[in-house]
Amino acid sequence: MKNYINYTKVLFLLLSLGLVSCELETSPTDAIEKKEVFKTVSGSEKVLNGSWGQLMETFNSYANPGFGSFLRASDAMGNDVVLQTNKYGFGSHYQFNALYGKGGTNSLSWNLTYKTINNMNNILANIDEAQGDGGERRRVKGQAYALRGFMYLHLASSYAFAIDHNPSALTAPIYLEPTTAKSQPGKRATVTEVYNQALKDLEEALVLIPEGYVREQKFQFDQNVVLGLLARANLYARNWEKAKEYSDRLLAKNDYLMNEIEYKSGFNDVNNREWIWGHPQTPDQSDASYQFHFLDVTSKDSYYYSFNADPYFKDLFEDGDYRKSMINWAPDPGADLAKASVVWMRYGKFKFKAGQIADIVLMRTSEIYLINAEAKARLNDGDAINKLNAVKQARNAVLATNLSGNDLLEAIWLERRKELFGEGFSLVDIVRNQKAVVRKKYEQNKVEYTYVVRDANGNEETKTKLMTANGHYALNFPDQSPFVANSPYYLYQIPAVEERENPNL
Amino acid sequence: MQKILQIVFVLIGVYQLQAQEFTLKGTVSDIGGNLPGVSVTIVETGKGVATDFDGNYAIKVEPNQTVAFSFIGYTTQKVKISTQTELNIYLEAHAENLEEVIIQVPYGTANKKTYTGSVGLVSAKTIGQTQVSNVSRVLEGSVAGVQSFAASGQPGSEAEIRIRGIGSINADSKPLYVVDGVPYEGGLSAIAPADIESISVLKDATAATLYGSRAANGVIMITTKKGVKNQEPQIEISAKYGTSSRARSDYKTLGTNQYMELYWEAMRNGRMDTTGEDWATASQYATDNLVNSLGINPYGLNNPQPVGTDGKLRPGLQPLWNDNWTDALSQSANYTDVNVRVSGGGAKSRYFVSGGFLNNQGYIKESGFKRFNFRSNIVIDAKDWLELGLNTSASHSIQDYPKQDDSAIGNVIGFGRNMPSFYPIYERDLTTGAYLLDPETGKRIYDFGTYRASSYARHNLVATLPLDKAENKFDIATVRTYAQIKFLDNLKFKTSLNIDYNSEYKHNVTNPEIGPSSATGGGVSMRNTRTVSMTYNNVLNYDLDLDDKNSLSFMVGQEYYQFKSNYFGGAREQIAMLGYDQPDAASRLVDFYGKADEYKMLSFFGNAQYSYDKKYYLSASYRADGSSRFAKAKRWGGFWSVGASWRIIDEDFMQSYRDTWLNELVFRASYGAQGNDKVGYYAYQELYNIYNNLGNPGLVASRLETPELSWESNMNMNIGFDFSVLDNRLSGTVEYFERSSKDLLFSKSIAPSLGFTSILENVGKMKNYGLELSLEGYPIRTADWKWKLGMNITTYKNKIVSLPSDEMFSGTKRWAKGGSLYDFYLQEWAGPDPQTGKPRWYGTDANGERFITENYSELKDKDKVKSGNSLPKFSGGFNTDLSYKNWQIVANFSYNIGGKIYNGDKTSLMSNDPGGGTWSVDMLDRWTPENPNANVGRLTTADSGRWTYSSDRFLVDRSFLKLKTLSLAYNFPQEWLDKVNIGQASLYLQAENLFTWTKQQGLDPEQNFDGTTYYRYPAMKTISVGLNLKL
Repeated sequence: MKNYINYTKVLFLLLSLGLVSCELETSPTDAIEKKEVFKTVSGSEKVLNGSWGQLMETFNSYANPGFGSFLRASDAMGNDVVLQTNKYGFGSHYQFNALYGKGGTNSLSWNLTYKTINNMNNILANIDEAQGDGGERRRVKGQAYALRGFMYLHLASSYAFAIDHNPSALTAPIYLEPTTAKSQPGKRATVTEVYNQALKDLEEALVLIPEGYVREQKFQFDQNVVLGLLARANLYARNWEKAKEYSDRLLAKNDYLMNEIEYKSGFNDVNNREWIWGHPQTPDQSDASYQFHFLDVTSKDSYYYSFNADPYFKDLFEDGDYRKSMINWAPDPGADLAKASVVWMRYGKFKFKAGQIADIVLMRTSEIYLINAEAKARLNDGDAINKLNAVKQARNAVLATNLSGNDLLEAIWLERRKELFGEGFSLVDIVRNQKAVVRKKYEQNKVEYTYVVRDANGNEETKTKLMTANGHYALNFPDQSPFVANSPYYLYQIPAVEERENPNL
Repeated sequence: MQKILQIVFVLIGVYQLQAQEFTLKGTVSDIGGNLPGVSVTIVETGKGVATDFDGNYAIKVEPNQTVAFSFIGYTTQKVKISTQTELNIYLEAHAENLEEVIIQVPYGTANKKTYTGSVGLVSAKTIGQTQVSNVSRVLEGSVAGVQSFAASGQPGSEAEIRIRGIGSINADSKPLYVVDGVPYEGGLSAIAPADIESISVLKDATAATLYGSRAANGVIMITTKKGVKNQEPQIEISAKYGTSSRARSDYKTLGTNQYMELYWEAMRNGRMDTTGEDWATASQYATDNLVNSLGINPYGLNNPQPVGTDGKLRPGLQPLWNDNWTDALSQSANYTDVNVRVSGGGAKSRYFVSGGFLNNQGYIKESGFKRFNFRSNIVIDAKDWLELGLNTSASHSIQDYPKQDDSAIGNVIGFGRNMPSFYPIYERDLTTGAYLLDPETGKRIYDFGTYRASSYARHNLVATLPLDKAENKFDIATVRTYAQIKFLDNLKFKTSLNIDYNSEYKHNVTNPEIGPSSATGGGVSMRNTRTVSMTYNNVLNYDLDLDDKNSLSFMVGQEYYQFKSNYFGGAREQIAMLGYDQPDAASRLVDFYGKADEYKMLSFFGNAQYSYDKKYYLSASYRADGSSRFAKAKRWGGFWSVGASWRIIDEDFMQSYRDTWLNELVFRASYGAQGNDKVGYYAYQELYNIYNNLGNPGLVASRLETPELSWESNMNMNIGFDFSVLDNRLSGTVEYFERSSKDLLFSKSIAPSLGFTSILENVGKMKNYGLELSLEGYPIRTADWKWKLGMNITTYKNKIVSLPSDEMFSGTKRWAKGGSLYDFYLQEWAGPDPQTGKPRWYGTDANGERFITENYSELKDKDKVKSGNSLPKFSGGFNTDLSYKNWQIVANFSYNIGGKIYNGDKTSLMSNDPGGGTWSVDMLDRWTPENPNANVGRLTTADSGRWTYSSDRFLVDRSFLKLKTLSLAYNFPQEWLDKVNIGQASLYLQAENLFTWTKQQGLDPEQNFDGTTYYRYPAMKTISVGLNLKL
């Protein structure tokens, strides 16, 4: 009996110890080890795809929805957008405090740009050894170059004044190798070097992405997008010949300008034929759409409807130009008209689709026309005015005649403001052309607002109400000095943490 | 040795032969007279009786048996019986911490009197005096060295607990919770306070080392109640019912009239700033546009310009409505807590079974916590060599948790606070101010305020909260099983398998009909998180008494721990109809996601203890942990401790003191190392996160490789004295501790241009050192009156010993060698310019000279100055317990002295341009030409006039004194109860958070450790009546 008990005890002991497993390996379900990622070309393509998603959809607050927030900031800091008072987001950009004060947009720009660059550097460093089809490899590699070039273009055009203002102005570091735990932060390159890197990357992309490549979705880089970016980058870098050449090449492939119906459909759909490049949104990926809560000033669903137009902006359009018919005084969308007492100039260009979704436009043919016109005007090419007029004609505007030299350039820049309103070019144009912001106080305080009331029997009655009209109200810099060209208030700032942690800056 | 045993056996044999049963009789009394209900048991057989109403007893005994007389609150007396037949006993009411307190220590128990480590105790009685839904909140002010900050008043939420300061910078600083001897991963809110027998807090290395890396931040051991052998079933019922409200009223804000004048002023100034208009033109502009800017005219349409160009409200104007949104979002809340407990035991088993229901409503609408809990603790002596234990508990709780923890519009606290009184809750006739009524229902119509100037336009939480849903459901089950085999009396083996299961189910619905959610047709989102943790351990214990002076004990063991967690969730929009809240009712899928994580640890440990002559005690422990978080080569960490205690009181040379005034004197010291690995589950791999994009798989670089990363270690030193004097009337403990952490798991900032913002490294050293004192005294101890006073105080400092770089900035804090992790470094506020009112701050130029600037953007980190520390200088609590006959009144206070809070809540009410949001009353003292020395910036709608940038202007004192609990109890006299056959009964009145004294009006001083606050759910006050019955 005693033995039996002892045996049981020993058995118990062995059983207890035996149950224990010694395997201590674990791995995440939402991340993949790097060495697995770059084994194949398709792994690199996933990095390309993920980096794009991250760039476009990363929030650091609702006021900064992804890369698009830099486009929105550009317009908020320009001549033609009047931020509605007391609305969330971009109000301090409008008053030139946000970037200068190193706010959220400023740090998001730096972090997102360099995260994207590092991801592309990893693709470019590993893809040559990866398994996969050679054609795919060239294409993915080309797209990685294109995205890196696009990032360096953002740095060159946002962190320095015009390249001809001071070609050797220190701008931002250039990284071409993947970051490891031992990497040292880089020193700032000059604005010329950063532009050159952007151009070099885009040229590589142009060689690598096959002409016949048909992309699955409109956010991807095909040859047209790369040609458009090359035209844009060369224009900003003041390489007029190249800008002309690339925009000519692109227009030869696609010169479609949308019609009035398309123009008035809300600038929310990548399927618009004039869009060369855009970021689509779906019900399950719609963070970037949040930008439309600022841009959309006429839909009831818009939360902030804050990107209103300067009342004088409307006067820049001739009657008959259908864009003008989209710009009108109106109270807040969804307001009780009987109670409303304030109107803002609402440009109904951007409108949500159903379910608060809207695609983000990144490049349109009309921009390419105007790049082409500007480059040709610089080169005294007589075709410049034709390209300008092609856009004007498509919008039913009065055509320009007898313009040349600086007048022609001014007319092209004005057309860029009119045509590309809200698409993110305002501040870039001011900086690269070394201009000052121009904003004029709106003198006329009250305007008549006419609206239709329908009673219970369906009878319509037109009512007119005198409303307070709003125009520009931030007419100087935060230190109350007047707007001037090449002001530090126009530029993105190096974030404090970069200054602190990067001794090589 | 053998000889001795032989003699003993022979003697026992002889006595057994002579054994003869006889009856022992007597009376048990205390200082107040005869004691009824005292349990009289024969130690050898476990048989027992109780004294009758007059304190008399009679029990059958055999010679040489020992009889124990025990009663709760008294020191147990044991008497060996020879032949006497009468024995009168006098029981001494004991000073609580001097009794033979058996404390729970890792993998066993210990006698507090001789224990070498530092332990704080909270008894069931103290726990019973609180009215909280989460056990973590009990610890506030109760144990020296333990800091508890309840960062949220939301019912069911957990308090933040830190034991002896903060051990880590980036790794977790939470203590380990151990329930019934095994690390607990279930939610603390699942444990009903009524089920708890005691809570011990293990503060130093002695005990904690045995839990190795898991105990780096101290251990809180919760022991649940158990049954007693050979006891008739006892039924205890306790019930409380009460009401809850807000403990402190909110920050005072401006009324409508004042607001209008001040906003007029801000508009005039703003117009002058941004457009360059002159005073008169800008004044006219402000008068013309004031109502337009705010969106509504609370004085009615007949007064279109309520503020004249002189900036004064036109005479005689009164607002037509004055709505209080915070009140509208509040409710009268009820508190109900009912518990039933049954315990008892037979010769071979013991049991404790309980069930409870709690309903703790929040004072904010649609917030609250309901819990149903069940527990069963069973011990079976299956064989004389085998003991089996099974503790199971299960709870189901439902928490209504409206949005409350960020600056989002839907934050229910922020909403009430930021909506000024001139925005009506219900639609009004804009001329008369009368309510508009829905022509169909005749009811008032909620005003969604599309006209409101602020971001709160279109929202009305008063209307939407009841139609929306923000519910968290928790299902928690824990199983503790063990088998203990007794090979020999002094050689035991225990194997134990323990599982904690948690399921958290979040269910959020936004209604399809009213408010902003109607734009997307409403939505429903759900998320389920499930965690299972398993701890399996085997422990061998061996005790050896070498002779009557030297005794040894050894323990070796092994443990395997595995934690699995996974979650998934989804969201759909466009709900078919109001009132439908399941995903089936919504037509558009917007999200579906989920992930799983796993963490494993394998450990081996051992402990040896030696005691000499019951005066000198030594202990040493070692534990090796292998963690799955680190790379294979860096996985294992070794942790150890040594401890000693010396019962000075029992030394011969203390004889003369012992006989006079000194009752207890013990010296204790310990030193040891623990580890910390709590830095993400996969802290070595170079990883790419999955980031899918537009239907295609995507990846992004997320983590740099850190193969060298390994354990952070914590070195703990503890030196302490326990003492008791004057007939045990005053007793206490004083301890010094030093907690140093090295190889800190540090998330080091790197230049973001590298594509990453930080990298994990083992760098830096830090220490926390300080003093703790607890005292307990009995100033009055007579037959009718008993008064007990207790207090504890802790002071400690946190000091950074080394860092990878000279200085690092983290939010409002700066970390530097020699400084504290909790030093506020902020830009220094220089006050508004007396001439212009523009906000100014100090900066430091290249020569180190201070200068004043109006340009906040030009200030850099180097300009920041040390502005205080968020840790209080002293913290602790004190309590008083006064009883007179059947009456008892108990009060527990907690306090903090010193320390700062960066008050973001108040700051958000002090902006230069609230744009239709609320303004604090402090704005009345803003800068104006007539008030040039103001400390509140000039009002202006210009963004450049912002003065609420982070600066030392907004730091406030965090000192407070709080009456945490107050209870008044009446114990029904035994003679009444006997007539109705009830064992014990008491009726009581309890109040939680009755008073708080602190400097700043509106501030709830109980905030998180780093001392920054932002829209938290304020603390609640609960007052209730209760009844305890023992059948």
